[in-house]
Amino acid sequence: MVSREVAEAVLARYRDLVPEFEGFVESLLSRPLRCVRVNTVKADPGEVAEELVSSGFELRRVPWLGYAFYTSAEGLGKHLLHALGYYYVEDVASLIPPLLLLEELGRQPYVIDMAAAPGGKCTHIAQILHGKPYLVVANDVDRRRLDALESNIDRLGLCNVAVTAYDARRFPRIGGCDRIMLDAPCSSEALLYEMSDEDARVLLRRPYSRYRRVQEAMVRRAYELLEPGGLLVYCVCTVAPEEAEAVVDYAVRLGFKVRDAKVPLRHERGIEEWRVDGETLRFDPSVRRTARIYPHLNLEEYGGSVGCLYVAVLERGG
Amino acid sequence: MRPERVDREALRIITEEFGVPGEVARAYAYVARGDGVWAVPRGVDVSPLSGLGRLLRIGVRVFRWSGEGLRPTNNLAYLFDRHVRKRVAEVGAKVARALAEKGYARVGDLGVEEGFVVVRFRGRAICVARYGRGFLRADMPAAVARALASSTA
Repeated sequence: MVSREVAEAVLARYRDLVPEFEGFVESLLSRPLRCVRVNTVKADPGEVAEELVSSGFELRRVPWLGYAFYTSAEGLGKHLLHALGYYYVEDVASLIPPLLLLEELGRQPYVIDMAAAPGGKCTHIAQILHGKPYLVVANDVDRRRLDALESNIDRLGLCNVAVTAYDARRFPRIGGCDRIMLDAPCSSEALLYEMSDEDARVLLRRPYSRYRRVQEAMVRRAYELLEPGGLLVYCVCTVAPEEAEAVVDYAVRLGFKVRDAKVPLRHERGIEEWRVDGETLRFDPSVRRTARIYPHLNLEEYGGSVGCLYVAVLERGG
Repeated sequence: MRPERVDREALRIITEEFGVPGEVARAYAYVARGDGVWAVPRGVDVSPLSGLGRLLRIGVRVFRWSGEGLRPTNNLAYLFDRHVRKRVAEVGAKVARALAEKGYARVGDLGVEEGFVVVRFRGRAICVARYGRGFLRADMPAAVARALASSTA
C-alpha cells in the first residue's frame, strides 16, 4: 500500500483545487466502501440483501438506488451468491455513469462501452436494458481484462452484450448508436490506496498529457460513432484536470454540448481554469456542468469512501 | 444446421426437456456461432455486428456442439435458473461439496432420466451435470466451486 508521504507528494498539485485537502488525501489512502449491485435480471434485491445479512455482512441501502447496498466488510467477492451472478461488487460512485447514460433511453439499438473491461459499468447498463430492444457492445483492447469481462457477463447471465476487442480509437462504425460510455484509461489517482510506492511514484512524472492524448482520440472516435443528438458519458477515476475538464473542453470544440451531470452524491462542479507548473489552462465555461465526486465530501453520510470520479454528460451536436 | 433449425432445436430442449416456460425461453434467439449456440435477445438485429473482425461473442453460450448434438453449458443453468422445472437435481451440502471438489458425486436414483440435469443447491442452480449410473458429473466454474466448497465446509 502506498505510504502517506508518497501519496501527499502525488496529490500536492491539487492543494488549491480540492476543498478540505487534508481530508481528501486521507480518503484516498483508504479502500472505498464495497457496494453490492444486485443483478435484477436474476434476483430480488431484498432477498439477496437478506441472505448477505444472514451471512454476517452489515449492509446499508444506497439511498438513491433501490438495488444497491454498501458495506465496509471484506469478502463479498467470495460468497456463493457472487459466484452465481446474483450481484456485482464495485464502489458507490461507479454506479452513477450508467444511470446518467440511460436517464433517457436512446432510439437506436446499440449502446457502446468503448473501454468496458472488467465490466462494472457495461454489466450495469446491460442490467438496466434487459428485456428491452437494445444490445450493449462491450469493447476493450486488453486481452487479459477481456477474460474478466467475459467471465462477468457469463456469471451475471447477460445475453444482451456483445464483446469486441478493438483499440477504442479505431472502433469501426456500426451505425445505430446513440449512447456511448467511455470510462477512459487514466492515471487512476483514485486507486492510490492499492498502489505500491513504486507505482505511485510514476504519477510524480506527470503522465497526464500522455493519457490526455489517448482520451481525446477516444472522444473524437465516440463523436464519429454517435448519431446526432446521441449521448456520451465520459468518466475517469482521477482528479487531474488535464484528463478531466481539458478533455471535455476538447469535446466541446469537436461539437459536443455539455449537459448537467445530475449526480446524487456530494460533489464539486468542473473548473474553468487550472494553473499548474507556471501555465494556466482555461476551459469552456460549460465544463461547470460536469461533476467531480470526491470521497471525503461524502464521508459523513456514508461512513467511508464512496470512490473518486470525474464525470461528464456530453450530447453530440447535429 | 440451418439457423432456423438451430433456434428451433435449442428452444425445444430448453422448453420441453428442461421445462422452462415458453415465454421465458422465447425472450432469446439461439444462434450458432463457433463451437456453440448462443442466446441473444430476440428482436435486436445483430447482423451489423457479425461482420466485425474483432467480434469475440454476442450473448451467452448455452450449448456446445458435441458428437451427441447440443450439450447444455453451465450458463444455461445460470440463465434460466429458477425457471428450470424438469431435469432438476436438488442436492444437499455433501453432494454439492463433492461436485465442487472432485467433479463427481454418488447420488443414487434421482428419479429423472439419465442425461443432463440442472443441479440446484439451496434452491439455486449451481451447474449443469451429466447424470448416469447413480452419479452426477459436473465441470463447474472455478469461482463457483471455490465458493461452494467454502460455504459447505
